[in-house]
Amino acid sequence: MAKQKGICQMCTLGCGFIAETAGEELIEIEFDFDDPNGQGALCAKGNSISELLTHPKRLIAPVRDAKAIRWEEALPAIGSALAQLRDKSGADAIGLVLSGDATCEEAALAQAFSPSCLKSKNLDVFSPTNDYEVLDALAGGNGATPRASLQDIRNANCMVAVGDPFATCPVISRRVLDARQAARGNSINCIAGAPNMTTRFADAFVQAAEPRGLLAVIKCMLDRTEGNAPAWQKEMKRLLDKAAFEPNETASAARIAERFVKAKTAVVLLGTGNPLAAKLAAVLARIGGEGKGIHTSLSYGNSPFIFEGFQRTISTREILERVRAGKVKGLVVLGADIVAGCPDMNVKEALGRLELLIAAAPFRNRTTEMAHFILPSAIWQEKSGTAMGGHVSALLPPPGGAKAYSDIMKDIAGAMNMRLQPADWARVERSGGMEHEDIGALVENGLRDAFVPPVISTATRFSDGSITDNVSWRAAVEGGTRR
Amino acid sequence: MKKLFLDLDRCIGAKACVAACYRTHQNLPIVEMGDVTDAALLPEMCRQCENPACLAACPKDAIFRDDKGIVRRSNSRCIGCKSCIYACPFGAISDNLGTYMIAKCDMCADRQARGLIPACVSSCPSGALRFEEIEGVRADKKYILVGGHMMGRHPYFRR
Repeated sequence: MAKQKGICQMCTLGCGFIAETAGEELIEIEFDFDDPNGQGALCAKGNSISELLTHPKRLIAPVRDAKAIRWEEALPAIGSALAQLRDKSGADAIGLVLSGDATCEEAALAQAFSPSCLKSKNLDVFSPTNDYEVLDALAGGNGATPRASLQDIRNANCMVAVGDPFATCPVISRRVLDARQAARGNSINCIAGAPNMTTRFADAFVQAAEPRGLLAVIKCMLDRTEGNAPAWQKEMKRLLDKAAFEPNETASAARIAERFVKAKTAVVLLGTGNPLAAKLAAVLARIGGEGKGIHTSLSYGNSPFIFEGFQRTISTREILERVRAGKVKGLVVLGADIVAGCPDMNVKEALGRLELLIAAAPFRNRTTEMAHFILPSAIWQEKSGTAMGGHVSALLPPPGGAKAYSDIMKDIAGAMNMRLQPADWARVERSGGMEHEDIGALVENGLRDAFVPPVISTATRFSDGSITDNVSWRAAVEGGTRR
Repeated sequence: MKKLFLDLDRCIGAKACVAACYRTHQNLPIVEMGDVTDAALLPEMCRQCENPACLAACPKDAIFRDDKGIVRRSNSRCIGCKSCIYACPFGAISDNLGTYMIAKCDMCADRQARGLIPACVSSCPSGALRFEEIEGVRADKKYILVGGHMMGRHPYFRR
């Protein structure tokens, strides 16, 4: 029996745990009290690791026409179909969508695989929570956005939660509540569209769409600044003076602004996938000055590290638009469930137009339903590589014939008589500083951005109207069928 | 005897305790979440009562108090009559209809034998669940006890 340290990649926090394994079998997942990030805690997502690793419904063999086949049959068929489509339709006719749970090496390999084997620039790493857009918004100003570490949260006098960081990264709540209870006067302030897990602890709560709420706070902050403010702040103040806010919004925003300015150290906890809110949160932290920083709570653990070096030219939504327009005729989806990930687009209708859809996934999902070839893929605990800012080693080998995305890409390239070498790992140059931003558009869009009620994705609504969460629902289903 | 305490000022309703309990007890959920009329979402846990109604209601003596004082349930004696479920005033015992087995919190007796604390307490992301002696909690002036199982910060220390 071997004990190995693992890192959870369900969110950006990266809590550690200890996995006890015997050969190819997982014995137990144990809490790791020495881990600096999680400090022994695992949230509901982290506790599902053992279930993901040992689930009986994992895909273990490639599927074609609802029939399980061997890799030796699948690879030549996929290779010839892709080569035929590429030669028939020319460049940029095949798209590649990689999941956000890939390692950094796999993202680099995809950047080599797509132009060389598929002759296509239609490549994206997909995260349903707009991780790239949020990180891109924060990277504006050439790294001038001050970032806060986990230790900064524990020492902070004032927290401003945008969205619901307690829901995306629950383990962060331990530090936030520790900081709040450490001294009188330390406060948690929330800006969100509706009451949520974080707002229960709020000392001041602006109930508005996140960009609008942030603009209300920014307005109160700018009212306090003296005459020697930078030009973009003056421009913003001039535009915001015209904006009309509700009286209760202004009252809460004034309280938040007062605490934010007075606090020696303050942290903006970003728990939303709204890029506009991310940009405005960066503005808020920058106006705050010394001791203020932003901490992001994102849903895909490895995506900040992937997007450090990922040269993105097209988004998944744009690829799907091209599919609908008939420009992209074949699609290779590695891990990402794009049907479930873009609920506002009619993805199924677009995927129905494809001549060839190859979907790799650890479980059957709504994208594999539409696929001509389904390939079994490994989950993140079953592959070694660079992830979460360090080296992560595999806890277990993948079950059956499941393969990591890198192996799938390598094998398909082999079937097409190509050899792969990863692309250069170059840093991406992102957009310029605050001085060059269109302040008018930022303010205008922020005020117009309406609140969209959150979709409760973990709940299932039954025909009798009752709603249940996944834990008890699964228990009910399994209990009802087992004999 | 150490007991489970729920800090009402820290519970965020993340359901990590439910998931940890589900995982460590062979998929028989023992800790469940109770919805308090939209005001709060709190885990419902076994209080380990001094005079347990479930023990009194059991017709086959399947529920008993062990030498450490923990109210436990014997799998071999249980006939699945669900009397304990109806008797428990807190709704802390849940049944599993498929297997006719009733899950009852034993404060992770197997983990305690290995020197570990219960899974739900380890797992709690916000540090709301505690596993402590009741005397220790009583001595802490910052907290007041709510019904011997839940605790909240004293109003003076609250804000």
